[in-house]
Amino acid sequence: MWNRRHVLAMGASVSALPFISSKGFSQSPAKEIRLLTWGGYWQDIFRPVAEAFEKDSGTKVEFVVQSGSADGLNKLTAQRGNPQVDVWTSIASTVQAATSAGILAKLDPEKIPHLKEMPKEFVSDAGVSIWLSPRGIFYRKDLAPFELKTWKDLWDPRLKDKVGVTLALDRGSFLIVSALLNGGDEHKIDAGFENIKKLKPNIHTVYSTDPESIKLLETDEVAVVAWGALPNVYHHLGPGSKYAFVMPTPHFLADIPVSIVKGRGEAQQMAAEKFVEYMLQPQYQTIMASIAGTVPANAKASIPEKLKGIIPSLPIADVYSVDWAYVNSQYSAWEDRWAREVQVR
Amino acid sequence: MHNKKLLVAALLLPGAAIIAVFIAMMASMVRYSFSPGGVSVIGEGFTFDNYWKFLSSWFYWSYLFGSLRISLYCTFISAVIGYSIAYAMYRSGPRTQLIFGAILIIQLFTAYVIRTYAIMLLIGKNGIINKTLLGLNIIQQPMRLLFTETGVAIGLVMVSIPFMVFPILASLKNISPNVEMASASLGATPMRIFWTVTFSLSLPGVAAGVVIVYLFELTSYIVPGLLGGGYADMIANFIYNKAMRSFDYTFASAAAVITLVLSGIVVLSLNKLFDRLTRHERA
Repeated sequence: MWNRRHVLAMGASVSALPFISSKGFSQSPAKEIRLLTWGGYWQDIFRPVAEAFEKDSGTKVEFVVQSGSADGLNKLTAQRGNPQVDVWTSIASTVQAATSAGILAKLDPEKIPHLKEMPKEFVSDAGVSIWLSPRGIFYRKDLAPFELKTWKDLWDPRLKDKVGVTLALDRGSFLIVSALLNGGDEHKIDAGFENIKKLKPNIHTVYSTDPESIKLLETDEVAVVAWGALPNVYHHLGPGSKYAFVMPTPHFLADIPVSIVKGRGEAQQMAAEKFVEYMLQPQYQTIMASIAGTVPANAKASIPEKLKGIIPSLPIADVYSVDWAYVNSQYSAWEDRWAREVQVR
Repeated sequence: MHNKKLLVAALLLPGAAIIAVFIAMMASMVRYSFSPGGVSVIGEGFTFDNYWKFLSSWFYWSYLFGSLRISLYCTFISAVIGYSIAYAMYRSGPRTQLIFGAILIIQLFTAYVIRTYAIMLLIGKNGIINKTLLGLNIIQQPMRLLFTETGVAIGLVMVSIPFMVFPILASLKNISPNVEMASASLGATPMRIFWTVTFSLSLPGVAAGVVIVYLFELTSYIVPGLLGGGYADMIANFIYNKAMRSFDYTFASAAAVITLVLSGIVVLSLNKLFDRLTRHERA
């Protein structure tokens, strides 16, 4: 016969169960994680890795789409109190902003052993590069009056009203290129604005996203896109193609970091760490780079054959490294100045 | 009686839920607008800095005034074209009305982005307009329509026409034919009948169309974004860029609150104006 004391003891035991299960036993990785990444064919890049990971670990990777890394950061900021994704791929500038805002988890080399073999410049507290994405000039050979080879070619008067430029894409990177060509850099951006103003006769329009830039070329609106990402145009290139991609010096290689979102719980974080570890393995680095048209960040991974004819020989020298923390602090002011000085006819 | 009250409450519940969500969103936005900000940061505390930053800069005001200006003349053009279409439908037979109505409804329910892309193909460098004019030797080189304010205006008018036609048509259909016949029998000319009777009595529809279209155009984002190429950004583009690209959420919230207040003033002013114009009808 159960008396009051038995009932109370039973109640106390049941109440303590959740604490025992979470603290007393070792946690196992979650059975599903969510990867916040770009849509369209970008998912084809991650799919082989995600499928192999699921087969090996039993953890399914569900894709959540962001229209761009800025969109991704906005989503993560909105979900800050209750994050809905585990792993995030973006660009260095947004990772810097997200790290400052305290959204991302610190990457632990004990739990992600491949971090130790990654080049130091590609590892930060909350992000590790999975590949390097070459940036350069993308143009239509049938519409451009000459073969473009250098950044300065964009200022050639023969390209009058034929060029599309961008500020938003890669967070002012083309403005920084313009500054570098005029003796400045991101810290001395006046030189960039001065140079862009000289480019105005050649500027036909301004685009904000990669798809927009490709559409401009496809509809003959512009002959040259001043700032393009090789992965976005990779499939358009090849023998007999009307498109060409050139990667002038100083070289810009956007490193594409993967990060783990903070606050999802131990089981989710554990699975996320295992997935990041998986992505850094040389064989998967090569698979992703071959599909994407990018350079693997892990130096032990082999370089896709098709890339060797498009970008300079590896390792690529003269790569410019942007101070993203500074750019992020200035970007809003640059945006206003761009609207006042560049986007006016 | 008690059951009737319960039924009314149950019917009002979905609407009340939507309004509650809307109020919660607005309240968040207002709260953020008074918070100190930074890159991707919504700070604690209270400040007027975001409002001061916007209101003290002529550059930021120019987005608001530019949007008001573009919306104003585009609404006028939409009203003229919309009234013409509605009047033609009103005067035509049921078959023509059905065809016109179907065309407008298909346009209305086609995704906004797709419609705007279609306009891009129309007014682009190699679009139908330029090709036709070049083919007819009217112009020697393609006109620049895309990525200009003209392009944005063409887009805004084209996508907002259905919002103007349907309220006007509904208003026209409410006019009794006897009123026009009575005017004619008293010797009024067709033009006089139109201005003093038909147009006058259809003003409530015009008022509804103007308010809907003006607000729709004032807060338009996709059309200026795609057809303006950054050369004719409106206030919604500015707010989006500040929030989603500069990650300056608090300043973007202040700009949105200012736009909301201004839109409210515009709607109230338009309502008062049309109220005065249609007073005789209600007398």
